[in-house]
Amino acid sequence: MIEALRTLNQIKRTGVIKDYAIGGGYAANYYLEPILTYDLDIFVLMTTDREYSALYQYFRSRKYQIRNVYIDIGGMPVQFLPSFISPLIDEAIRRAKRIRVKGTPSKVLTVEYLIATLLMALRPKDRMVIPYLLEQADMPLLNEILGRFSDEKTPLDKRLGRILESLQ
Amino acid sequence: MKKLLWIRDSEEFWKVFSEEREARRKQLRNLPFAKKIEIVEKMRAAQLKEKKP
Repeated sequence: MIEALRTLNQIKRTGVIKDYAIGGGYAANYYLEPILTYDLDIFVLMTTDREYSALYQYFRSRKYQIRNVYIDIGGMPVQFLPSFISPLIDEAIRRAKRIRVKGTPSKVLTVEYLIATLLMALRPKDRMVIPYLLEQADMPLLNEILGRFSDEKTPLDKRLGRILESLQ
Repeated sequence: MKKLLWIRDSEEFWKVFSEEREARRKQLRNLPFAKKIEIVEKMRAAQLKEKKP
């Protein structure tokens, strides 16, 4: 994991990516008790699919192992989610929290943006972890974010509403 | 934990059980991120080892 972060910082220095933030299961681990997580979801700030291809080209040219969408960095399967797929991801990266992991600088999604991105994917494991993350969330801020990024296709606010109902 | 061994009332048992589990969760939640990563990586290695034929 730390090696992956060091590699990402190196890539950021070369300009292949502008910025990145840890999301998914590892971000949930930042806020909660340790939860088994197999891969590292990295949200990357990029505006075009050409930049996304350049990132994969960077790894290919350096003989990194690529399996499906995962790039093996120091034994850790890393999945890159580009910000151009959603304005929510773009904002989540820009507002991510700066952290240090064993001296290595990095960024992690804030708990409110993490919940919002989990509501986008809403896999069974996301449904399980969201109630625990809500304990640490600023609810007015979360509702404001969900209000701005919800639409008919991805009704984030309604999805959260259903989770909250199930907890009662 | 020891306390649980002596409880005979089911309702009381689950109450104490939940309180202890919550306390443990809080304790783990407050660990430094680097320590949590170490724990997750140990869990991950053990699971992957188990999956290998």
